[in-house]
Amino acid sequence: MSARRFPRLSIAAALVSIIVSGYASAQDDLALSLADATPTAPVATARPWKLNVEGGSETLERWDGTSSTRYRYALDGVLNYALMPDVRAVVAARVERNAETPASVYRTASYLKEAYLSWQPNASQVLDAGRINQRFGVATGYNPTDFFKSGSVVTSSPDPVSRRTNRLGSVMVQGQQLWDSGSVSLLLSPRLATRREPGDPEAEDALSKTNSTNRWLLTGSQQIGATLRPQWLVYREEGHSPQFGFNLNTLLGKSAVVYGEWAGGRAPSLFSLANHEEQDVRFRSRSAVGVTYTWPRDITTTFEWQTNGAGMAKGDDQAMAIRNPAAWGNALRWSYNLQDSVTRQAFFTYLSAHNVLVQGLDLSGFVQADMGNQGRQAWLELRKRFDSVSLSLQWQRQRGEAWTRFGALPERNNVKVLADLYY
Amino acid sequence: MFRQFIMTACALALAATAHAAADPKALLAASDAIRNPTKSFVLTATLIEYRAGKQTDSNTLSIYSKPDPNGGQYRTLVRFMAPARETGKLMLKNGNDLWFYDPSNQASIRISPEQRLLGQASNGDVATINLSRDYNAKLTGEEDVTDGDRQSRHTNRLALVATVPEGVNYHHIDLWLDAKDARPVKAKFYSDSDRLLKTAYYRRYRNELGVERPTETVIIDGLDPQWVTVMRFDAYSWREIPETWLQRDYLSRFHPE
Repeated sequence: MSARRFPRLSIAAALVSIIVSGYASAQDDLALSLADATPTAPVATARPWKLNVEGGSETLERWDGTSSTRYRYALDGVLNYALMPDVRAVVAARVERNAETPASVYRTASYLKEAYLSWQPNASQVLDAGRINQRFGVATGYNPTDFFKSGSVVTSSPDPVSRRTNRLGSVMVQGQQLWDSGSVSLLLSPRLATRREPGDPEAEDALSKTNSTNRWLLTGSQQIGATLRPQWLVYREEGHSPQFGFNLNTLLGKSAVVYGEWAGGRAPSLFSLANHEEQDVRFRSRSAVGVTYTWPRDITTTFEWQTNGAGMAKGDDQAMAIRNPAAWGNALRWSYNLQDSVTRQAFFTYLSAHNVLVQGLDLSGFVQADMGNQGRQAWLELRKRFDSVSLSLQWQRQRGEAWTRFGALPERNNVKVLADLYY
Repeated sequence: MFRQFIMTACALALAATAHAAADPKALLAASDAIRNPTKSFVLTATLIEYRAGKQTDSNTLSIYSKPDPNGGQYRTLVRFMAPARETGKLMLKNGNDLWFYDPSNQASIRISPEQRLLGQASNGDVATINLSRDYNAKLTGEEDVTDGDRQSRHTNRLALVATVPEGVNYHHIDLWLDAKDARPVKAKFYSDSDRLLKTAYYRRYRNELGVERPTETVIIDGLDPQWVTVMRFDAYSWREIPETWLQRDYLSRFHPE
């Protein structure tokens, strides 16, 4: 019986094969017809400027249940223009108008994020002078080696990408020597305003935020093997001990990138820095280690463990908040400006997915959790991409006691609707 | 001009020799020489993506490629030219060492080979790749297939298997080369579980940098055949590319104009 069935099965298999093959051929033919009908587009040419117009509204719900609405219109532009074959001028600026109900009076704020000249006599040497946004670090949520982040951020968004984009550069002179597999650079950033510690919330104007002390930074990196490229940093602020930094990331298989970022040196605690107390200076480390994994269907997740040796030990934050609420409030305000956690350990997870449900719809979000207390922050964004426009809906929620980093924020929930036009 | 003539002659001679001997490795090398110029060059690629017959996305890229003098594989620097929201972003690819740079926040981020920046096309699809360096080839027979212009073409069918599967996007590939001159006609790309990932048709042959090359690749998704990407290549030119351009620390300095 089975001998009789085998030929029938073979015939059926052959028929299925022919049908499948015919279907594939028809599909290929349709695809080729699409390609035939695709018009030839003019070749795009590079231009030296980029402009982004942003408009949106944000509904804020406070802890007591009251709410208000904030409106914002902003113009963000970058010019990167060759004055001569080896000299470029770079300017990045943002102007925004904000209003909040019930007053609804618009106020204008403008930021010169970057303005510098770059001289590059050859492919290996560069000298820059002016206001420059220098960013360091391989981690996603927390960058201890990003020494110039303190006090420079000009957005209230908690999104790490937005915080890196919307920040002021510092005035500096920077030289860089590159070779085939690495580079070394030295930058000097002078004090140009009343002396303050970087990250001081009392700083108001741009120079006070970015150039209130003399600073220098030496960095070097070298490719080792096919996929290792460590970076070393030495940073010093006037009146403080040098801080050392290290960045490393590498591939694990074809889907995972593991990374580690560390900075350390003799430094005061967050609490004594914020309250100008007799500083409890000792060796303190900050770090972020994590893994970013890409799943099928263009989904990426990141898990990151963060430590801050200048933060408070478990239980000390609550005790300090009860004993001296004003001093604790100072520590919290400094932590926002320094972009440091208040606790010694924190956990961060990030998710991003492209083309969710429909083409061009992206989902991204994160949860930042401070360990040792119940302070949590969650942020989620749905963004629809078009060629020159993107529309996004953002939701943000804080959780925690009033003495935690996130519980101390004025709002419990924020919902933001945003439109961006790109030119 | 003379140099280009010599290179063209060499590629064609290689193809002719390969055909005569039907040596799969030589056939693959000959087809690589047709797809890829043999020294540093730049071109513009336009990627138009369709879903169910409707255009859903498009990107224009400037692609700088330089062969590695030690390994023979290319290093590729990709600059996003359009759409406006992506302008100025960069991708650097050196084997599995992949970096993405966003000028808006000065961030150079290492990405994994599985991370996509261009929708259906993988990062490897826009990079210049010599298949003969990463795959072992076996000639599995001669076959008449329908090419990208719906013409019947007599081909040599090669079965390619990755020498180091962790180092490439596709575990194995079926490649059809014109039996006459080793021109790539069609390819099917598979995962390690033998799942069809993509089908590609190479077409619109045109003389670019001294050799008749395919200037359009039509990519059809293996799972969803209505997901189609048309990759067009234009504005080929020889371009000296300094070594320093092809490392992460230079990304923030890259201004080719």
